[in-house]
Amino acid sequence: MTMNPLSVKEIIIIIVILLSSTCISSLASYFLKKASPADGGNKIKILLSPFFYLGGVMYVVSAAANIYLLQKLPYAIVLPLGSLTYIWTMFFSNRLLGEKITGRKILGMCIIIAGVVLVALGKGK
Amino acid sequence: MIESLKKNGKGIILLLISAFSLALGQLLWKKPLENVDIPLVLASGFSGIWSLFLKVLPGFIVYAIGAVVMTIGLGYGELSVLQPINSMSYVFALILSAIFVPTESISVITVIGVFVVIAGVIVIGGSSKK
Repeated sequence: MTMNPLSVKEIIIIIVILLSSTCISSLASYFLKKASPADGGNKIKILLSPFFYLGGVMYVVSAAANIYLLQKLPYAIVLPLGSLTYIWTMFFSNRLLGEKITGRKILGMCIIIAGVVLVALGKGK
Repeated sequence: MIESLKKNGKGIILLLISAFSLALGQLLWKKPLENVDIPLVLASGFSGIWSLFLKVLPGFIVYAIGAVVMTIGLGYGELSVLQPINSMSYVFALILSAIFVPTESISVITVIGVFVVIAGVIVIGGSSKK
C-alpha cells in the first residue's frame, strides 16, 4: 500500500487522534467495569446500566478512529501505537479506582507492548 | 501469584473468553467485507445494504457477546490486571487465521510476538497484591 507523505498539520492531527482514541478505549473499559456488579451481583443489571452502553459507544468511537488511522499510517505502526491504551488503563485504574501500580504490572505491560510490536513487525511485511 | 489468581481468577478466565470472541468476531465480519466496495453498496439502496448488514451481523453478535462477557469479567478483579488481557485477542486471531485462512502465511516474528504477549499476560495476571 502506498501512502502520501504527511504534512506537519496531518501529523499533529494524527497524534491528537491517537492519544484521544486510546484514551477513549481505556475509559470505555473503565465504564464497563463500573457497569459490572462486583462478585456475585446480578449480571442482568449490566444490560440495564447506562455505563454499559456508554462504554460500548466509546469502543465504537475508538474503533472508528482506528480505521481512520489505518488509512493514514501503515498497520505495522498503528497496531503497536494502540498499546498506548494499556498505559492509559494503568493511569485511570490508579486515579479513578485506587488500584496499586506495581513494578510487576508495569513489567507485564512492557512485555505485552513488546509482543504487540513484534506481532505488527511480522505482519507488516 | 496464587493469591492474585484467587482474587482475579474468574475475571482472567472471562477476559480470555472475551478476547477470543473479539478475535472471532473480527474474523467473521472482516472476511465477508474483503471484496466488497462499501460506498457502492451504500449507494445501491436498501436491499444491498440489508444483505451487507446480514453478512456482518454474525461478527457483531459475537462482538456483543464478547462485550457482555468482558463486562462481567471486569467485576471480578482489578482493571489494571484484567484490561491488558485483551491483548490475548492477537494470539487468538493468529490461531483462528491459521485454522480458517491457512493460505495466509504467518511470519516467525509474529509467532515470537505472540509468545511474548502471552508471557506479558502471565506476568500481569499473577501480579496483584492486596
